[in-house]
Amino acid sequence: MRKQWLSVVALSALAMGAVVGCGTSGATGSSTNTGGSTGSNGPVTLNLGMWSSSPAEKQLVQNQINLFEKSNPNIKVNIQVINGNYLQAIQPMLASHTAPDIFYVDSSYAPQLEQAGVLMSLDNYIQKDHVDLSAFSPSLLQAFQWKGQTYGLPKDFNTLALEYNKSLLAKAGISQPPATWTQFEQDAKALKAKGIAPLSMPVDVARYYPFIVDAGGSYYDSSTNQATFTNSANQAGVKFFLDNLHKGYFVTPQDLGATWAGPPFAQGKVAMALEGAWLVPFMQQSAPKLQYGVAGFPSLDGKDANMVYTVSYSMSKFTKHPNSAAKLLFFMTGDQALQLTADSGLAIPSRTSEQGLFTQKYPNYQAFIDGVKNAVPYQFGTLGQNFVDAINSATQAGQLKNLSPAQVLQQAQQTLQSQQQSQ
Amino acid sequence: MKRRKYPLDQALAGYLLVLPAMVSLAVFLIGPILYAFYISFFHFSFLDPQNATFAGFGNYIHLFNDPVFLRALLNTSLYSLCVVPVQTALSLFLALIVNQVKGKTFFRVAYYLPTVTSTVAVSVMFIFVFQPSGLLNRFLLLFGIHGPNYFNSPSFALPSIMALAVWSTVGQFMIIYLAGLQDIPEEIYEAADLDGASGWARLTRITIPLLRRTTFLTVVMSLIGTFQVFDQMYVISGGSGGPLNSTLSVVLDLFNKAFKDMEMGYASAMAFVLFVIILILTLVQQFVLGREQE
Amino acid sequence: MSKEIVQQRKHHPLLYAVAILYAVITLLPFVWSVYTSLKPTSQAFNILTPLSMLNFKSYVSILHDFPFTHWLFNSLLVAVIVTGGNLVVNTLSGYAFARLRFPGRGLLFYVFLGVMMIPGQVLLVPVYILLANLGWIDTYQGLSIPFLLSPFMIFLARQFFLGMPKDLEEAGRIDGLSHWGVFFKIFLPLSRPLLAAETILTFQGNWNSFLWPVLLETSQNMYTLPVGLNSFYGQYNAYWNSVMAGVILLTLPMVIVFLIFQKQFVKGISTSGLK
Repeated sequence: MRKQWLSVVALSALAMGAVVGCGTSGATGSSTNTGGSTGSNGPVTLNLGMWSSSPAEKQLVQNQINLFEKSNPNIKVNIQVINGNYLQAIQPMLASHTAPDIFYVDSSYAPQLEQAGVLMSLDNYIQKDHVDLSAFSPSLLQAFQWKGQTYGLPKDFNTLALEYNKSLLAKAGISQPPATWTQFEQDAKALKAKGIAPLSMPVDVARYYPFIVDAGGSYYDSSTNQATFTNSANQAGVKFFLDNLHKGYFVTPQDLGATWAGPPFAQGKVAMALEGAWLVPFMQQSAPKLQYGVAGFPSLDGKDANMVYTVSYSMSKFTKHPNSAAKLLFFMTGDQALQLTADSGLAIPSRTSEQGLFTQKYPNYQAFIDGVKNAVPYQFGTLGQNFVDAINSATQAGQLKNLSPAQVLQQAQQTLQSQQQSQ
Repeated sequence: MKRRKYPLDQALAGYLLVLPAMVSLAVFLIGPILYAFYISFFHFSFLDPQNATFAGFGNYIHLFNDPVFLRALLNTSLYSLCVVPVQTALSLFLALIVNQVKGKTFFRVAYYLPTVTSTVAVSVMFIFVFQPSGLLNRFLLLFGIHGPNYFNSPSFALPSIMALAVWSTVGQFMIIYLAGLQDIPEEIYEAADLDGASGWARLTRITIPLLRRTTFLTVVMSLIGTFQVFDQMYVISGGSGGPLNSTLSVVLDLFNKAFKDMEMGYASAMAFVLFVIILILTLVQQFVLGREQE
Repeated sequence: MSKEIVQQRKHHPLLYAVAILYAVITLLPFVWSVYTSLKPTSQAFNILTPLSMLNFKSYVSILHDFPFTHWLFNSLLVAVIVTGGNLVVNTLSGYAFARLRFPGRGLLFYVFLGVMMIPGQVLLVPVYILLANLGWIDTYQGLSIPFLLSPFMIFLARQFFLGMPKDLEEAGRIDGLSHWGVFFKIFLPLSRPLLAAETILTFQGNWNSFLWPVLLETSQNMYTLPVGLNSFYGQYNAYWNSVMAGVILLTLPMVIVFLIFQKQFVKGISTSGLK
């Protein structure tokens, strides 16, 4: 009863506060943090938000946290795993001030959140804690800087490589993984003749964008923050991708009963996949005996473009314990934690000093590190998720409804425009 | 001023008993609805509430030029128009059969089982059965038919979800029909037998007309229910309404606009359009039922 | 009874065939799920798997890797609170609307009738904002308190109490009972069918609800079973044996409850149709 009255009061406050200003006035703020006051002396509980590509990823973060808690006995850290649509889950949490204190932010929508003003600028804390930013790969760090401020520190990065199942290739009489896409088409033909699905990749700009770049196109102009889908130079890359889908050389994971290429690859249902290093621990866990190799992303017409994905730890602007949260954030992007990342093989550490460790431990995965040389970042300014959604649904229409490349690109442009109008 | 109509203690007791409901009504229904109506006239992002701008009828006008919303409306209407008749006919048909066989309890339990099962579990089960090499396609292969990849095909995904919906709700409506059948006085059938009516005549002249009220209720209930469909679409398409928006329902679109794009004013406008549609369906129900009772 | 006897003469093997065929259509996906959950991953799409390969390994591993038991606890806790709350709130109001007279009763009742037409989805945005401001996102109170009122249940309760004999209050008065006494000592003991129907409809609805929980439960520790299963499916897709084990873990508790109380379920559902 008393609680209901409380909410009556709260609602009338809300109604009077009208549209604007809700939440900011609140005596009723977030209640997820059980720790005491803002002071850094008392015991504090922090929440760390992440997605987990596989159980191995959660284990890695847990190990890093254990290490942190050992040296910071006053700070307890809870992991909050968010699966499914991460952005959709994290935005309402930010808005309602219930977001975790620090959390993963993918470079693709980092600018969107920075613009919305829900991330804490880290500059003051970086100064106070003397964090040396030059230890990070500069291009990774830039992905989380906005108008001169830093809103996150990259924890690691990934590029795409070609993973191939050795025995399936051998069955089709192929001894070497394809180094070029022309070679790939021959190999794919041979594999298909044996009834083996050649390569699994989703209809996702995050995977096929290298084809666009290889063929001389570009979807995004960073100087104007505009999408450039209808640029005619883009058609060749889209055509290449769609043709391979139609020929059955590329098979979507959905057609193999999964949502990403990992499971069918692990189950031996497909000969090749184009994924990042996150495939490595997944394979260890789900198919430890499967013999597979990792080769560089094949080249197209002599061009060798790749994509780089990077993820930061960023701090919620509404954290109650910014000092402790900063401490945790710097630890999770620091040398100690990143050594564990390198060990796990999940991703390549963002600090150049630990990148060597990764290659030492996983010499076979040099391809992931080499990939970064010609990689374009997976980031499209503040267009963010709308951009990705627009081009993905248009490309999917190209696959399923046999649209021409020009129609696909036209449709993507229109969808993005109509979305921007409604905002 | 003595009001003998309402003895004071009785009135007091009455108020006290409805108080919890009233408080809940005010806080969690009326207040929020007024608030939603208010923000439906604003460009309002919850991430950035300070920068809300007045939109007038902008959100409502934009709705009817928004191809995604129109697609969602079309999908939902199609879904409703296909599911409701099939569901109703099948549940009546099964009720008539179950009413005449031994082991009624067994069939009732069996048919009702999908209804007590969570829609999430049912959806995942169907995703498996409808896999490209799943049980259904294996079965079709016996007849030489190569079934499609149902949930990844823009033409098969929605019909597959319709099948799922029918499968999971038929039991519930069948039970309602069974109850309706019990209410038909046996004397009517006996009288018909004396007149030498055939089985078919009994069905079309007596049973179906006398079940009219039940039918009407179930139709309206499932119309309203199908217009609010969300769970199956969310689980099966992973929240996207794909492939190519072919499984996007109005509520899923609303959910995504509100909590993924954070356009809460726009989402509220969408909610009110849905409200009006459901209101019309309900009013038709009230009107027709009211007329029948006279 | 007499009706069934009359109908016996119309028994026809074809009727049985149809009834059994549909029972197979209904039950097969369940049987198939159980069967798949017992297989190793590589066998998931095989029709015939040797019996020796069936085991409970996938159950053991997902119970170990995922907090299914905790999700079960959350589901139970929320469903019990919501059902209990609904019983109190709606039964009391329904009773007051049916048997007590007070100024404004008719108007109030029409208000409740009116809001019955409002689809819950209209409330998604504003109630979410309200709960966010209360700090109730991802809490048990946020999952239960907003859902204690059901105008439909009030309506059901009112109809039920209206249908009871007029002289019950008189009898109570003669025994010297107060208004409370009349309700608790006379009406409540007679309301078991109503309470059973309310319990079943609310419990089943809440146990299986997904739209609000998927919005309000943001941390894995707060998941109820449907949200947990959806998230689990997202991570384990293509491991169909484990996924099906998850489906069975979500389905089984409710099926057991249903099998025990199936008579009451049937009655409850019938009431929902005969409003």
